[in-house]
This record gives sequence, C-alpha cells and structure tokens, in this order.
Amino acid sequence: MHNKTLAELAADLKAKAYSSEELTRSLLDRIARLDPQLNSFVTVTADIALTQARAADARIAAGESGPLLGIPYAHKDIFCTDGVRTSCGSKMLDNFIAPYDAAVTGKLATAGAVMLGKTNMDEFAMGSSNETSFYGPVKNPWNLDVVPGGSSGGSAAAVAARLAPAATGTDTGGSIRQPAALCNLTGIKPTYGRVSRYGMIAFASSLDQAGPMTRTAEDAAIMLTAMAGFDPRDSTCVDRPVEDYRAALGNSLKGLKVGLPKEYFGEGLDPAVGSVIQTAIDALKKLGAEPVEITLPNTALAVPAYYVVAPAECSSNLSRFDGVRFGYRCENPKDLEDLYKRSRGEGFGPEVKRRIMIGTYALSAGYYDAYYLKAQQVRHLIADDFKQAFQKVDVILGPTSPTVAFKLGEKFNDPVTMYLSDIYTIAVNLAGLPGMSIPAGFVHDLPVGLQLIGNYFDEARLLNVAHQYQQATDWHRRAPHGFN
Amino acid sequence: MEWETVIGLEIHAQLATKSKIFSSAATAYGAEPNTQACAVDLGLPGVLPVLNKEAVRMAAKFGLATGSTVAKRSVFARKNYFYPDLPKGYQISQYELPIVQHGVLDIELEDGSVKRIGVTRAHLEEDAGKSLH
Repeated sequence: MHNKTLAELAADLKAKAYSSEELTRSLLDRIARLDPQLNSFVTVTADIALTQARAADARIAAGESGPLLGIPYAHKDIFCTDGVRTSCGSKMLDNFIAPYDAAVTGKLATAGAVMLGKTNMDEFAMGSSNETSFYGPVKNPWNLDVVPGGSSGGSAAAVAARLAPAATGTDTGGSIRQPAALCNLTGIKPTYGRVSRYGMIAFASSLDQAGPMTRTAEDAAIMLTAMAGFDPRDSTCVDRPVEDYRAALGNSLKGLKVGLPKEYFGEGLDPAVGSVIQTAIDALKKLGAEPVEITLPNTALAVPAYYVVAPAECSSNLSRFDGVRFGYRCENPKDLEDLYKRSRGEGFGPEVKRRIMIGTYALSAGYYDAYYLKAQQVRHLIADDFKQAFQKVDVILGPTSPTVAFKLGEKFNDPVTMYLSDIYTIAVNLAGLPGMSIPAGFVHDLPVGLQLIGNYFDEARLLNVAHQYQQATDWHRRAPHGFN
Repeated sequence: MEWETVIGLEIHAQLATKSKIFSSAATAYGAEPNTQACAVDLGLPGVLPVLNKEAVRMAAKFGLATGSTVAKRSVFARKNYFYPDLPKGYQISQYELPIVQHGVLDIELEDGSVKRIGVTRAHLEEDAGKSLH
C-alpha cells in the first residue's frame, strides 16, 4: 500500500479494497519501524490518526466519497493543531500544546484526511537542511549521510520514504521546493494569498505560504484543492474561487512557451544538475513545449534582499516568544528583564538568534530606510522582472537547487553558503508567485529537482505541465533503496 | 519678555465598537477579567489580526466631523517593544499614513469667542485595556 499514490489509495478506499484504518495502521507501523533512521516525525499522533481513520471509514460506509477521505498525511509542525504539541522545531515551543487548529489543519480534517503526526523542520522554518531543528537533523532517505533539505525536511523525508503519501509544507524562501527537489518529490508553493496562513506559525509574514508535498503532480493537485481558499481570518488571503486543480492536468503542452532564464543556468550551477535539466527541457519539447530564452536581470539581488526582509519580519514576529504566556520560560528569573533575556536566550537556537539580530538591526531607527525599505524596493524590481518575462512566456523553468543534496554538517557552519543554496527559489517568494519542484533525474544517485514558476494564480498550469511531464517520465516513481 | 503658551495633547479614546479592533472578542465594560480575550488577543503563535470595519467607519466619521483628510490608503505599522501588557511584543499602530490628518475642532471660550484647535492626526491602534500582575 505504501508505494501507492494518494490518488490510487483514494480509489482503493472508495472501492473498499481496504479500510482507512488498515491503511493508517500499516503506515503507523512503517513509521515505527523506519523513522528512527530518518527522524522525520517530531510527534506521531497514532490515537488521533486511528480515530480520524475510523471516522473516515464510517463516512465511506455511509456512501460518502472524496479525494482525501481516509487518506493519511504528515503535517509540518508549524501548523497549530488543537490539543497536539506544535513545536515549530524549537525548544521554545517544546511544551506548547496548541489550543486551536490552523486553517490548513481544519480544512484537511474536514476533507477527511488522517493526520499521522507532526513532522520535523528547521527551527521556526529557518534553514535549508533541517539541521537547525531542536529535535535533531532529518536524514535523507536517498542517502542517510545527506540532508533532506529544509525547512520542510521532515515532510519531505516522510513522503520520500513512503511513510505517508502526502505532507504539508510551508515555503518562505524555498522550504517546500528545495526539500522536494532533494528528496525526489513534487512540491508546490502557491501564489501568496492562495492558502490561509491562519494558525501557521509566522516566520516572514509577507513571504510565508503553505503548500503540499507529494510524489505526483496529480496528488499535489488533490491536496492543493483542499488546502486553498479564502479565509476571513487571514487578511492577505485572496477571495477568489478555488479551481479543481485536477481538471486541467490533461491539457496538451503543444505551443506552451517555456521561459529559460539565463541567470538560472550560469555560474554556481553544478554542470551535472544543469545537464539533467537540459534533458528535461528536451522531454518537454517532445510534448510540444517551446523553449524561449529569457532574462531576469535582478536575480543576483534576490538573496541579499531576502536576507533583509525575512530576518526583519522574523525579528518582529518572534518577539511574542517572551516566556510570559506560553512556551519556554527560564528557571528562577530574578526580574522581568532577566525573564525576557534568559527565556529567549535559552529557548532559541543559533540560526534563529542570528536572524533576529540581523532583523532587529535592519529595522532599528536610522537603518530602516537603508535596509528594509531598500530591500522592499529591490522586491519590486524582482517582481517586475517576472512581469516582463510573463508577457513572453507561459511558465518559467530552471533548476530548483544548484546542487543535489549535500552532506550533513557540510554547510552548517557557513551560513552564507547555506543561504546561496536557495538562490533559484527565493525570488519567487519575493514576487509572491507560485513555484513548484518536480523530480527530473539523478546525479551521484541523488535526486535533481526541476523548478517551474508560474504567473499569479496560475497553479493549474504548473500542475498541468508537471503532470504531462510525469506521464512521459518515471523519475517521480523511483523510490529510495530500503524504503521501497 | 512675552511667552506664548502652546499645548499639545495626545488623546487616547476607546471607540465604542462591540468587538476589539483586531479580533472578534467582546469589549463590554465591567466584564469579569479574562472573559473577553481570544487567541488573537493572547498573541498565540499563528494568529493574525483582522481589522474591525466598524472602527474604520468611526475613525472616518471623526475625520469628517473635524474637517480632516480621511486617507483613502492608510497603513498600519508595528511598534516593537517588550512589555508585560503587550502579548505580541509589538503594538499595531499607525505611523506614516494615518487614517485621519489635518483637521480642526472649534471650541467656544468663556468670553464667547471661538478658538480653533488643530487636529494634526488621528491613528487607529490597539491598546491593552488593563493588565493586573
């Protein structure tokens, strides 16, 4: 069962080939047996899963059907989940039992999905390797010595290892797409405002967006259809009808104009990764797509602008973790200031502290105009690059990550090198566009991700291109040895 | 030497809305402590503010009554500091583009003359009612 896609499992459940409870039990067994090697789950919610599975079975028995009814999934530990510890990968929230459900948690529950547990992640989603988690690093199922990517590293490892058919992720600078690439998954970051951020613990509010991580584009379409939609509790959530993203999957790619930004194929890209991407472009050409060379001239400014905007927003967003009302509190504070300083000093890890300090500096009086405001202006330039490009092309294509997964520890003490691993994904968040990563091949037996970037609210087209590519290739069907 | 007295006033007024400016929790005067606080007010991880339409309407009415400019586009800003009555670590207030600016209020003095008081600006903002600790 574990090798089946979400769509196949849904068909089996509908045909009563097995029950959601049986499916759920088999995956819980797999998690118990295999996850100790990976560390992809922070909390396994077996009781909740079995209760939800039985409820789904009752609904199926009553004649109800739905694409997620009875389907188990893994939930990134950044989404508040009523009655369950929601740690955000931090010691700060190790003791935090959320008293309410995030919008995404609620939507998936309503659709009848079964939550297997909460997945490991970089602390407060800050990281590209899942090494900043308070709960320890996650291992990549393709090679236990390399990272799964981050920050949604636990979700990626869990789905790649067939511990769950689907998982939720969040993407502030590539945190869905980069781990999807490094673990041979399909992951989509929707347009900013497509999915409600309510109950998703904020890192950088103007960049954060939730999306699914699955093994196929069809499964991503099913998950996104359930996750997306207007929510009055998030004022940045756009009131716009949700498409059935599966409806457009079968469209032909004939005449599709695919933009290839020259900046995404230059210095810094591992030539072996570049050649895999070239092969994928050839495959798309056979499907009728027409490659068009384009330029995104401000690409080099994306990483520097991001490392002003994201830390600035995080420094403000994380100030609520002060040891007073929830989360970690230091022992025996001698006064209020000591309580604040030690609770935060002991509760946050080094990467989070680094970003809070950068952000606080960038927002401080006298520096705001030079840093945050300037970075916001750069953001407009980057968005404008994409706007120009989308006048000529339907989608933009390139690598998701400049290299395949790197060794655990390799970049951990060199933050700038780590930050540069997100060079192709960050601009998409700054512009608020939808972006997606799909499996495109292997280098040194490790997966390579192909990135597709779409115009605003053009998720259906991205999923269509990905699905058509997956009909012509089988990279996405490959399973890591020992987890197949 | 002649001196002119110039007095500037910063006035905080609670708008008589049924719910709070950024949450749906009630604002009834005299209610028991901790009975009118929701997840948003507590600044729990993941919550988001949603602006109260009625508060905006009242601010606009105040702006019109004082002959002010009521901004078509107005921006909220975070004022970051740590304080026990500030759950999020920042107050949502206004800074560069407040909702109301450049108004006047005429008051009648004891001698029957009218004095014109300038209204430089009016912000919409949240504030803690009362914290006991």
